[in-house]
Amino acid sequence: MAPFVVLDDVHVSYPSPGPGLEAPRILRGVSLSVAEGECLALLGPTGAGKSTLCLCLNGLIPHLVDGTFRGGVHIAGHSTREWTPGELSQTVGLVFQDAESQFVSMTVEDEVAFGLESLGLPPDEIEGRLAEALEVMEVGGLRSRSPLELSGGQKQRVALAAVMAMRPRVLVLDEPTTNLDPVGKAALLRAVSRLRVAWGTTIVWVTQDVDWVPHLADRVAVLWEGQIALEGGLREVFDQGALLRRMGLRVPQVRELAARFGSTGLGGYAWLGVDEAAEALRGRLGG
Amino acid sequence: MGPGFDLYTAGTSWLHRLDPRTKMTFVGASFVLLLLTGQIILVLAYLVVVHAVLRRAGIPWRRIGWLWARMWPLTLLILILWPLSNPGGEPVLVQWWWIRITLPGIGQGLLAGLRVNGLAFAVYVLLLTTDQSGLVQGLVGIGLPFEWGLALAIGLRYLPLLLGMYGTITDAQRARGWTPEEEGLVRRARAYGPTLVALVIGALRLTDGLTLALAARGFRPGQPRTTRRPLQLRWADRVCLAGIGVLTLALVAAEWIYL
Repeated sequence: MAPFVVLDDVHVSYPSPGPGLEAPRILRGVSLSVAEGECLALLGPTGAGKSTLCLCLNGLIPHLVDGTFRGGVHIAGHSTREWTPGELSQTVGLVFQDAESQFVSMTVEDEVAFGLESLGLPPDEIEGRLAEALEVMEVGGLRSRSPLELSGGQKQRVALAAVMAMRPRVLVLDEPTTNLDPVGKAALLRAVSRLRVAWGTTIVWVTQDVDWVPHLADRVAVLWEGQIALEGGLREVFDQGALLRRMGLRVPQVRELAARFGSTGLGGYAWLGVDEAAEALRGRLGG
Repeated sequence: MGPGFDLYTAGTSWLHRLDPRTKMTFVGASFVLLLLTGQIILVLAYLVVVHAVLRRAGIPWRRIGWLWARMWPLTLLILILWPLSNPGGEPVLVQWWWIRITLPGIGQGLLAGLRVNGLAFAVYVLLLTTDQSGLVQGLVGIGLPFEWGLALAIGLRYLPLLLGMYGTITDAQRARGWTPEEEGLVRRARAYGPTLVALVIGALRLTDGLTLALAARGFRPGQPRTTRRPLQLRWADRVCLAGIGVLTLALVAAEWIYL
């Protein structure tokens, strides 16, 4: 499949924090591609440059954020240098880590409609898209509630609905599950999964929740000190447990369990998910 | 936090359904009348009518009482200071050292106190029955740029967040042994310095994040926008506007001719 999102040797530095101090180099030659409809999980320790990479994907860098930008980011064949973030917002949707800080309205429905009104859509179409986004994200019952009153998981789903109502072809999720409890995480990832099925959205999912990665991602890339250190299929990347640990990351717990089984002579397993592990163990135990 | 900075009380009453521009016209007319009149009885009558209208629109007494509680300290200050700073007229009720309190001074203080509450309740009629989206649309409808309306809406939206942030910062400082209430007034003011610095930094970060979030959602200052619920002046609005116009003109004329 032809790549839909392409990062070509991207370098980003932020302005120097003071006289005589070096400008922090955040991205140092990142090259990456994501196919249409694919979900790429982007892992990396804190400070690796994941959020900066997200800002590059929807054109906020270089258009709005101060700093130096080199290289190229192409979405559907168009350079992000050519499009303003406003134009790009119809193609690339970005959900920030802290949903609360991106809300501008007092009710959920106004919040979701805000972007659609910015696009200048007619009222009928706004209503249609609003209802659809709320339904897919399962927050239709919260329409008239204040976003401030919602739980963390609900806030993230409202933020996601606000972005998805604009029908972007690429969705960038910047650690959306960081502040959520397990129930909130599961609900959010179910919602993302549903919209992938419904709309075939291409997803770049920045996360540190490696246990959830096999549930959604097709491929994994690891960002380490501003560069892509590892990239490939889930098994390929999670086979590099020792390397990931050196970078301050870990593999999914089920994969870790499989490795321990292997090292104690109980078989050569490479499970990634609980279902897969349960199936294999049931087979082995004859259940 | 009490009802908070968003005073809107959800409802479907006739007052809720009125176009925000009609309610803004009411606020403007109220300001003209309240500032023009010198009659306590008229200001009192205005307050009684406004309360009846609010109750008819389903605004609970509790919410109205909460607003009065917010206004009470200012009202009290006016009632005390006005007669002291306006000692003219007769009869003199108290004459002691430099203090001279007269009956007209008390009357003027009462009028000023009621007038301030009348002005506040004129605005409350708008804020209690108009949601944020309607408020912004109304402001844009009367000619303000959308960005101004949005700035106001974001301000209302972010004040509770900033208060929450301030609470978190002071809690963190207290956990490390910070006890400003044990200090004198000057020291206490100084002690709040670091807390305010942290608050300003937090607010700047919030602003940065919000700017990026707005841009990411297609907001471009100066660009034309549409709205989900376009404003529309209905029959009820026309009747109210006509009523407000006639009443304002009549009362202004009465003030001018007779009083």
